[in-house]
Amino acid sequence: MDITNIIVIKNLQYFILTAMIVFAVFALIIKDTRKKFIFLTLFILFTQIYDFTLYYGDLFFLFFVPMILFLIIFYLQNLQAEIYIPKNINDEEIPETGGSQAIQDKNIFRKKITGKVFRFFMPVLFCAGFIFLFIKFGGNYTAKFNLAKTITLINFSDIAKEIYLNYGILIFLVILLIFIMFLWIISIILIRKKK
Amino acid sequence: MAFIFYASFALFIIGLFGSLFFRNITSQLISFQFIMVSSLVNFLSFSQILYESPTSILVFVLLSVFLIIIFQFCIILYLYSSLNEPKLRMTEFDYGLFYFEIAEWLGEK
Repeated sequence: MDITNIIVIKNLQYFILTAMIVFAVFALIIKDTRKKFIFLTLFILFTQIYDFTLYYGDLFFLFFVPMILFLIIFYLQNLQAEIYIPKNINDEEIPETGGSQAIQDKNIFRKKITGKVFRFFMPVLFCAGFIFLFIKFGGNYTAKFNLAKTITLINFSDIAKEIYLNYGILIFLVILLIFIMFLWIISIILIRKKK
Repeated sequence: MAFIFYASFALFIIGLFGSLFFRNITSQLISFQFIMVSSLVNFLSFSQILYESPTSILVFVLLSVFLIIIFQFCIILYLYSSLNEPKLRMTEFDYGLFYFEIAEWLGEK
């Protein structure tokens, strides 16, 4: 099946990608849990619409169903956490030491501020390094590409056939799954031991 | 093509910054979601626009996304199971996944 009206779809892709970035920023910045999840849902919806504009008909559903299930579980967990966890716990009690308390308070305040500044600037520097590398080495990366002239649509039967025929992908992913589960179980055991 | 490339990179940077900066586990999981989606966008758009979408790549992407989502399910189920335990601050990592406290770097803790 040939698709000729590509300009409209390209414009749609610009719009959808911009919306995705805006919703991503909102979902991170906003503190209210419900609004956060509304923006996250919108972000995932736009991601799936983007997949749809890439002509992946069946993949639209295949990606969307587990993601929405994940979102629901995530949201329910957050609601439970809101109900069960009491807020404003002061677990760092400052011991009273007579006259030197004011100096100690000042030191703690200064340490807190430097800690916050440090905690903000370390990720910023890390991301700036990434952006620098990206601009320096990937600036003209897309200019060399030869775009494909025909667009193919993939059915669910093709995907199923590929899974049955090509065992390499499945073996690789099973090994990856075992490795991740191994890491996960080790981390759980360590946390339990600490408790 | 370039716009898709830059947009997915912007999404990746947002996710990276969020996962490093925020202490809250919810924000960290959301930022991991952004990183995953940026890789998804790159994989799918590159395979469709450059290579006429070979099915093997699609199957790989599909199954790997399932794998990541299963892993995130595991994290959430673990947090959910430990909600009613006496230590109530279990659902938040105290210092995030990565240590950017100045006291950590100076060896005071």
